[in-house]
Amino acid sequence: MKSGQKKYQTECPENEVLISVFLKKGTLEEQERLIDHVLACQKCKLKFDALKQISNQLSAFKEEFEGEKLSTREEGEFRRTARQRIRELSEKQKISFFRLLPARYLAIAATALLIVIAGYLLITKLQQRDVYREGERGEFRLIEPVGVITEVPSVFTWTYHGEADNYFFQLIDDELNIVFTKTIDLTEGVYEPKATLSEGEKKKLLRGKTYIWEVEARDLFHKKIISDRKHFEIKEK
Amino acid sequence: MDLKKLIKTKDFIEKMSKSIELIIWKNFPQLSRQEKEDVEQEVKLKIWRMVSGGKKIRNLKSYLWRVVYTTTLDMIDEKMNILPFDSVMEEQGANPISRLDIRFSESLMERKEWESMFERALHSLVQNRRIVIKLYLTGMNVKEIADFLGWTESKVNHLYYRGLSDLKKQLKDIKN
Repeated sequence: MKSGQKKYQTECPENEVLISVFLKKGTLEEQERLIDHVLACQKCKLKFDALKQISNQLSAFKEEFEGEKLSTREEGEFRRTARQRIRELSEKQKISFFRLLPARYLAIAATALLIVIAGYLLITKLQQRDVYREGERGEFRLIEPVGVITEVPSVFTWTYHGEADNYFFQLIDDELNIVFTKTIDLTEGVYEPKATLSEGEKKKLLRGKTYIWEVEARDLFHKKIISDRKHFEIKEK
Repeated sequence: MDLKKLIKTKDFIEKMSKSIELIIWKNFPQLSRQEKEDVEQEVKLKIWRMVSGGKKIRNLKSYLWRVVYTTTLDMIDEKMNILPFDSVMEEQGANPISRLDIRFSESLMERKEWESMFERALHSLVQNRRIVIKLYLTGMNVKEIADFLGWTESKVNHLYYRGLSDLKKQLKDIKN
């Protein structure tokens, strides 16, 4: 056996090596070395077979994606779709988890949740004080709405952050459900740091309830730079 | 992103998640009913999480292909970690050489000697023929070998038959 072929005799190759031969990145020698290992290692054979099956599936899509490139904006939109999908799937996961629990566990969980919310609101109150101090130092902070308000808010405002390319806004109710999310993209000609609610969105907000809103200032690749969180209560009439 | 491209990509990811899920089901039949039900969700979350971050996408096709391959191997690693290795592998015992049209002895002692002869004969082949035969031994068919190596099916077919013929000749020579 050639000396180069000894490399994978005892140790399994990294997943990245297996993937790269399927992406046709390796030389014939590297491919052969890997195949020699696969023929001798059942664990890697299982992985190799799985990649082979996946490769067969992928070949059906080859022409659809050949030569496709994404602009920075398209990439951002694609990542946003991914995040939206993650949120949907996480919600689904939560629902299926609760469906499996017996009623008495749900009662315990509901009590625990109430304690968490109370603690969360208390922490938010304390953070609000800290953020106000940060705001004085010119850092990122949310402006309004805060505290008890009499009308359903139409506009949410916050301070401008010099390094942000977009802002991710989310509104959460007192049961920790996400009411809605918005991405305010500064590359789309929006310069004011604010989120405006449509009439339809405003109808989702109920009087007598407390809402938490959070804004993340993000860079071009949607990586969080800084965030802030506030809460408000819409007073009953 | 133009809407058509976005829908196409989203649809692709959902379809490939299903394929990965099926591969996990097939390779890990020992998973409990609940674990199997969870696989669908795990695969989707993993694949979308990978898409939501990471390096700049230069070429959409190779990016997506890499994401799908990586998710598949990550899922396999996770399942291998929770299941005893013996139980994962109990179905996989067949000798790969039995795929070739070459007779070999069933007696254990003779078989070991024969396998060592086979290895010597295989390594004496020219590289192109040897690699095609080795890929065939992994269980690939001609089309899959051609895809894997980026060669035409007729080239692979030709190399396979030339390789097999050389192999038989070499084995005969070694025996004598």
